[in-house]
Amino acid sequence: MSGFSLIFRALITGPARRHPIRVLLPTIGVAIGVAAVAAIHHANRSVTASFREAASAVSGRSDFVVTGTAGIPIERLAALSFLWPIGSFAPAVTGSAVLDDGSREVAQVLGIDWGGDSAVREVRLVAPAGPTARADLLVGNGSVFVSVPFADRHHLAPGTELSLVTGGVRHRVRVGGILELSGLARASGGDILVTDIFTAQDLLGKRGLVDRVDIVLDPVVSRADAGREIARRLPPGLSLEPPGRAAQTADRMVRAFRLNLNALGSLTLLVGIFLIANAVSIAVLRRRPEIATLRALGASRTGIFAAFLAEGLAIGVAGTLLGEVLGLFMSRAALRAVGGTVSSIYLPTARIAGAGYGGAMALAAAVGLCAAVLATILPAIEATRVAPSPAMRPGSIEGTARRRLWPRALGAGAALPAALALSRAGPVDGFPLFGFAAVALVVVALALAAPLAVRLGAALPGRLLARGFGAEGRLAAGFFGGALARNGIAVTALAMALGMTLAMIVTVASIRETVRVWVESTLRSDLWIKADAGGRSGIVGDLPPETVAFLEGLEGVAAVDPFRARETTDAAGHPFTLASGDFRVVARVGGLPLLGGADPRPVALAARERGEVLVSEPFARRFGINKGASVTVSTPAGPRSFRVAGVYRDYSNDRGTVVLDRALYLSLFGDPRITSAAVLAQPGVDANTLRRRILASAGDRFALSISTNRELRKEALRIFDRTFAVTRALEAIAVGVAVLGIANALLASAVERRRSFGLLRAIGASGQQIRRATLLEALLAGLVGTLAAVAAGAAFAWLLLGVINPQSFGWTVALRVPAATLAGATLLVLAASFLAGVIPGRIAAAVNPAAALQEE
Amino acid sequence: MSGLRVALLSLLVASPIRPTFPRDHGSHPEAAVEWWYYTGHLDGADGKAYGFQLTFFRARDLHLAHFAWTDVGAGTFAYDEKTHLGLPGIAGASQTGLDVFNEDWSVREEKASVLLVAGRRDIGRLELTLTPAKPPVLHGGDGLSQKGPGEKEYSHYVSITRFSATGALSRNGSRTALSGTAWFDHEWGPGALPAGAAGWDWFALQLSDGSELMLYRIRLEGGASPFSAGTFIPANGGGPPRPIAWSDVALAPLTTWTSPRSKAVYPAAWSLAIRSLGLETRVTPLVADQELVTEKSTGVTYWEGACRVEGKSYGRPIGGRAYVEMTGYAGRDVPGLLTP
Amino acid sequence: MPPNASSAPSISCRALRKVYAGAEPVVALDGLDLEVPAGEFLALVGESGSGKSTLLHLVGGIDRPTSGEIDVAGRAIATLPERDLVLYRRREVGMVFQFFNLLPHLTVRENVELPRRLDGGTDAGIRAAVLLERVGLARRACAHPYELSGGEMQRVAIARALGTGARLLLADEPTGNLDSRNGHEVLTLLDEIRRERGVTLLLATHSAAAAARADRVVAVKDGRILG
Repeated sequence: MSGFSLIFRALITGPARRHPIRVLLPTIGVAIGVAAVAAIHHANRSVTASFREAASAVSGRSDFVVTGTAGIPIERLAALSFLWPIGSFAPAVTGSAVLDDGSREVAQVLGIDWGGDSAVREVRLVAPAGPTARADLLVGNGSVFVSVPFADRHHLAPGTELSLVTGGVRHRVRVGGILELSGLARASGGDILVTDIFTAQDLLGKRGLVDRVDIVLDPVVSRADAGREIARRLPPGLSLEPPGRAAQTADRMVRAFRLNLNALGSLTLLVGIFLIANAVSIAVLRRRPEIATLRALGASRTGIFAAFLAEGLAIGVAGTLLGEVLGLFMSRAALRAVGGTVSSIYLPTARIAGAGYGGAMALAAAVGLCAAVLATILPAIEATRVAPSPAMRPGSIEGTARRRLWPRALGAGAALPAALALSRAGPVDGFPLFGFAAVALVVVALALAAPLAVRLGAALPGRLLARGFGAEGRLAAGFFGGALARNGIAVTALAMALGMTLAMIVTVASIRETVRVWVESTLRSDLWIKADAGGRSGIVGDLPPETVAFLEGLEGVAAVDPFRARETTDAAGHPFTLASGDFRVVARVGGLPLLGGADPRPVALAARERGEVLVSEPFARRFGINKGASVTVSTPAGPRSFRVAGVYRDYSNDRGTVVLDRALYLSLFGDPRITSAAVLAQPGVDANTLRRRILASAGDRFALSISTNRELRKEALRIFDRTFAVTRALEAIAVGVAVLGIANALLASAVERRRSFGLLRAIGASGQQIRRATLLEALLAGLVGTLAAVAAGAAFAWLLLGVINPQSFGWTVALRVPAATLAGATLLVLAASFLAGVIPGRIAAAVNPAAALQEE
Repeated sequence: MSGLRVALLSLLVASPIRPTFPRDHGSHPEAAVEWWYYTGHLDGADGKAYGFQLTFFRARDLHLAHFAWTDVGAGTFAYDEKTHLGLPGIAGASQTGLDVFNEDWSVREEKASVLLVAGRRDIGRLELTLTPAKPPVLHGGDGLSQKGPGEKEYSHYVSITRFSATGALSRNGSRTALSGTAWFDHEWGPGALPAGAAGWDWFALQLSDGSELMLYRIRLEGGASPFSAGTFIPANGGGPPRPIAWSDVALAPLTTWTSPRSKAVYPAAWSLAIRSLGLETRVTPLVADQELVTEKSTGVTYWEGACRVEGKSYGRPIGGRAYVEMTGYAGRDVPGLLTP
Repeated sequence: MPPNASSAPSISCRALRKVYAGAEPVVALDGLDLEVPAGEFLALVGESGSGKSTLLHLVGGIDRPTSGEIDVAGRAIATLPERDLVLYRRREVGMVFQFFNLLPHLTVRENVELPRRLDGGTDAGIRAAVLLERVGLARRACAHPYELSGGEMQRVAIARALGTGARLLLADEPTGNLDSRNGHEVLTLLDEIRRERGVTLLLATHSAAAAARADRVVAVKDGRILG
């Protein structure tokens, strides 16, 4: 056994063995932090990887992809025929279908140019066997080809018929064959129906249109030159992109959501860091005599430093290992929640498959270990400052803490204006970098000010405690104020976690209330109609244009507002939504709350007459385009600029939306299909009755999904709550870890003060009194932590609502303070920290006075 | 009353549709299957002899194409194939006149000539102007060629049996001027070969006396189908084309050639005689291996190549050039479009 | 064998001052001068707070003087860099304290081995065994300190002080926490060992009986040597 291992045993493992719980608590803290990071990272990575995989399955070997906002008119393909001597191009029709076989699953529909498509994408037929894939099978009879797992799940074989809802209409198709789960068939995790372009056009109501053209160049051709040439020859309204763009665009759509999860996962780990720092500081404080003896015997500073660093690292390693296992379970739940949110809100056909856990594991391990080392460095440095003279007694760190009390408080005072300054800075590439930096600064301020808070907490309520609880109260205040350094860390951890939780409660409640009010003021129509989406809340496929006339012709219908939304990008590739609606209906019923509170009705009417557009608030924020400015949209007739007549509030889409009047949209894009329709019932007509009438009249013509106003409102809030479910779970975890921190600090105090307890017992204090004092100290720690949390929470809430949220989602949110929830959360934490004093209290009360006094 | 109905119905069914041009050089979407088929023998300015085949198929909306190039001097044969749905800029055929394309291969009529373009990077780009030396031939009388006893076992069959061809093959910046003769077949119909057909052999002879002979044999299990037939097109001024009944034909393979790829055993030379024409010939491939294995398109494995004709007509020596197509010799066709 | 094993060191302190900083600075040593010849057993007597312990800490290199010089075997300890001071403590000085200062989480043997192990010595085990045999605790080698009596603990501390073969032994009230019988045994052990091994021994003590065993006794008062 080497000298170092003896130091390590003397300082670390020996004590740890005697009081395993003090090592166990931070280990669990790290484990939870690591698990949260691993789970969140895994979920996020899975989302990104799934997008990338789905996109790459569809784009295959393609070098460029041509797309158009409202599809690509098929005759425009001729413009690309110059490519044949130097490469190939493969058009495709894309869409989605709801399976009408009871499973109500959603599958992607892809129509390709059989044969020619093999230049870009690969499909391999496994059944029917033999050289039977002939023209009569491939074209013209509506045959679709499905992947092996899909066929297995739905009991399909070549020749089987399959019932689908596509483009708002029920179709029956024949299964032409089964495809190996490779190449193109991997798109949407194998939930794909591959067919020829013409069949896909028929199914999706896209006659004469394709959605994308993939271009593959011969290897010898310069990509850059060819790209320029293609761009030059491309008809207006079409755009040329690298094939990875689709995945990027999808990823950008969910980016704000993902980043928020990451930030929260990190918060949990941050609390874990504080726990380790706390544990190691306590160890250093407690083992000062041993450190001094070792130093007197000739142990070097490096040796002492290394021993404590090794302790932190050991906690880190143990916590990380535990966390990885825990994370594996948590990641499943996180993946389900995140995947559910992504497919219910952002992309209905997205299949979020679990990516390899290895990457997340490695990252979480690295983060966990770095955090452990980081957390240990400062206390380990403190340990090296312990003088070798054994005459010195504990308290010098306390002395340092006391001496630095005011400088640190001043530092905290300086950090706040810095945070304020950072909060003024704009987003970086749509990400509120400086907002999060400001949050970090508030945390720093919190850590710096915590010892002062402890001091004040011991002084002010301490006096009250003394009055209320006599000797025990005085003792508790003394205990608490006597360990500024240690309690400071514990209080910081609690304040940070609780503060963030309180802030999130305020934020979520504010957004929820804002959304609720918005939904009420927006949803003026009685019924909302979309293509049958198999019970999903999102949109799966669109509706044929005849739906509008069909609805208008029904008895009891007062007005129909056909709504059309298409995803598009600006010149720089930033995604946004291009939508159209009937401005006459807006002019009649309103329901488009404008920023600044103007009446939307005359604005909509004027916009319709002047050919102007309305943009959503997130659009205005993201692109910096406000009322009166002009916005440029790429149309089949080339780029067109429109004046912005007004900015309306929108919480349904964080990419931003530009809305045109339907007449203008039709004239520009010639895209008569609709995404959904809002129906206004005639006075006195019951919504449910009207719904039944619509469904009955639609019969086999249209496959519709109809929500009443009330259902839609409920659905909106349900989606909202689901989106924030992960957020809430993470907060709860962070607070749980922080309460562990308080328990740990108190436990350490109890063990450290054995001699004091012994002395107290020797001079006549009862075990009951000591226990009560310890509990009161716990309460005091909880109280100070909570007060600090309220202050920090206010700052966090302000940053979240005023800076981070508008920058990442582009939403204005009216502040709402859910006092009862906040009070409940606070009381819960207070109670938890009080309970955290139970075990230490028991230990303190059980001290044998004679033994404790003899210890030194 | 009922007589009128019968008459009307028979009118609809038999539809005495005598093809008219240029319309009927164009596409017939009502027919399930259609092909435009060019072959030719070319002499290069480099003193070498070449043969080419360019075929555009249409099966419903699926457009396929084969191009083969025979370098007689080098004894080499190369081919390429394409498959697409009929889409603008990708593949298609006009319904008003001759204008068929698949990627950058095309044939279109321009000023009473046909412009033919095909190629592959390593073969080169072939551009030919074909000037018809004879009017279109309507096989089977009105251009209705019965292939079997069944109602759907027929095709519309039109040929132009002799063009003078001029043009060039360009490869890697070098250009070889070409001239020679070409042959055009155009068939469309329901597309079914008769039940039990094992394959077919087709001959297109351009004889040195200015006449041509088209002959096809449908092979059944037990021998040639009675629907096998041909057309003799005399030299200009020699009268109208004459149908040839199978009973008038004596056709026998002389040797065989075994494909190293498909292991198919093909006849490698033929003795071909038409009694009523006093014609006795021997048809010999210019290059033994002119086999196409078309796994990227039709999935059919067949031999189609340039041949030499030697023989006698009424005792006088006669020569000529031919293209011969032989299908159904490979045990099974290769997998097509979608490879299992 | 370590290089310092050749002879016991002489000690020379000149104008030694030690002031502990604080709201009210405490002067522990106030210009103390002291010469200790090699191999001497010197007893320092004086009241609590007289500066005896401080002097031992300074000579032992676990604290530094505010001013003045300390030479041990001709080496200036006061100005030794931290790195060398660590080695000095480890190799050349053995210290014995009133409260034993054994490491509670290590066994008796491990406590004794520790200094030599810190020095990277591979013979720590043998040395410890020899030393424990010498102090009569070989059979308690695997016990933990809290299982020992006070006298035994102090004998372990003495063995530990000798672990690296130090020739300077500093004992700060080694009997202060022991009953008289145990105190007597410990003093006898110290005396025997210093004779056996030829070490210079500085003993700070209240006890006149303890002081009586020394070669020379000096009294310390208010941070200076009396007389």
